[in-house]
Amino acid sequence: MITKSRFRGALYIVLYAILVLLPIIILLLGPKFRDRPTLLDLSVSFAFIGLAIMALQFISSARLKELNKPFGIDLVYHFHRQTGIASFLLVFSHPILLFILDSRYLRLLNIFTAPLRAQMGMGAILLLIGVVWMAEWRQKLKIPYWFWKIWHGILASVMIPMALVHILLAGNYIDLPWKRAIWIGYSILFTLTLVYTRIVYPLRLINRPFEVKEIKEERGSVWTVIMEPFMHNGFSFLPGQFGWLTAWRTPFSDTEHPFSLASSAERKDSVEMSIKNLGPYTARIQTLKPGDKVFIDAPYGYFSIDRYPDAEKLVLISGGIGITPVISMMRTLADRGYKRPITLFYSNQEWETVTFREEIEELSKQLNLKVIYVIERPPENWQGESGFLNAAILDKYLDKEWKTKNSEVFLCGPPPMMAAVGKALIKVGYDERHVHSEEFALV
Amino acid sequence: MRQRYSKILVYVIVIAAIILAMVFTMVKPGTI
Repeated sequence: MITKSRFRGALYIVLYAILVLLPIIILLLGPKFRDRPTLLDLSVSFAFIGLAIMALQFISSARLKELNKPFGIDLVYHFHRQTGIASFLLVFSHPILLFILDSRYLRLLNIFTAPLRAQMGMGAILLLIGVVWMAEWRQKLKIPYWFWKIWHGILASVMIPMALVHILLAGNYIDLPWKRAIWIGYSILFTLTLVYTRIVYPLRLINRPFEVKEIKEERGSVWTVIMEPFMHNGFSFLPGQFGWLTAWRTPFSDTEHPFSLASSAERKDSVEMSIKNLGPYTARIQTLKPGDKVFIDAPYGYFSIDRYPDAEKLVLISGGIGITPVISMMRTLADRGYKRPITLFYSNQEWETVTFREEIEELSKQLNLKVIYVIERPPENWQGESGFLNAAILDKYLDKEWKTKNSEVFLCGPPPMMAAVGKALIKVGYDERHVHSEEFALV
Repeated sequence: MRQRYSKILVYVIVIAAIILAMVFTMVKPGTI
């Protein structure tokens, strides 16, 4: 299964590379035309590549399940972000190189006198600056997630047609009908993706609502929402995967948030999400009431023990609310009667805010589970580990037998903790191929 | 590690694109 998935992943990468490079390849084909300055050629080439990448950004963010399967959506989003920056640099170099080539191009900056093709090009670049600036600075600027998500989509959706119109109007490098057809092809691809993500997919979700059955308060300002599929069979998932929750609105509103599926993957009748109060949206979760209808777009994610069925030992490492995919793994393993050894390292700031503390104690009786709590600010007379989880603590509990190739490590927590613990695991002798992680600060 | 692969892939694609762009500037259209 993994080989097939790898093959499919390689195929998607090759297709992506072809679609990115196609605009340059078509520049190299066809009859000769008059010589143009090298800087102009370079400037146009960079813009073409940048725009091809931008058009494909709609596919990488479209949450196409088949496309995400070989890589995991966290990686696809990571790639989306990096290619976004790359396309910005390439497109931005287009006017810069033109200005260096000939200062008369600077006149095009006057939007009142510039021809339509320049107005479109400039407009697209301004929108691109807005998209990248908001995406990269969202947290520093304290832009709410929902606001950013809506405007990221709107700005990008306006920007691409403007850039395509700019290319078609400028027309210099797409003088032949078949060359124009390729850019029209990109436009069709972009439009179809947009229609799918904004209309077709929300319509599918709206026909599969979930009903809130119960809201439970947990330790550490966490609320568990228990939901049941309403008039449909729900979905299956792997323990560790996550879904996008839309509450109070319809899927058309684009106000969804990603949360781990915390319940056991063996229980098909209901699904749980445990959500920590970290902002305005998550604070509102506790106001959901039994009977409310919500929408779940799931499952997503690559982070699952089920991808490694041959693992003889499991090391689970959580920081704070990073316990949610891990509790799903433990609940699932308990339901399956799993008997292989598991070690859980669970870091928290305080003992009193350790989410699922009591349930983990119960699970340790059902499973062959050893739990090591690491408390940053431990209570008086604390006998366990304190401070941050580090190489010394890992080494103390994971002896040679735990560092074999049949031992798989699953790590989930805040990004700084994951970076530090990831390095510590390598330091104590783990091969990074056996360390699996997923950032829950996904977007 | 997966993220490192993603970063390498982005670099490879961008570098390939830049090389092709350079080829385009040197080898004028229609010569291939």
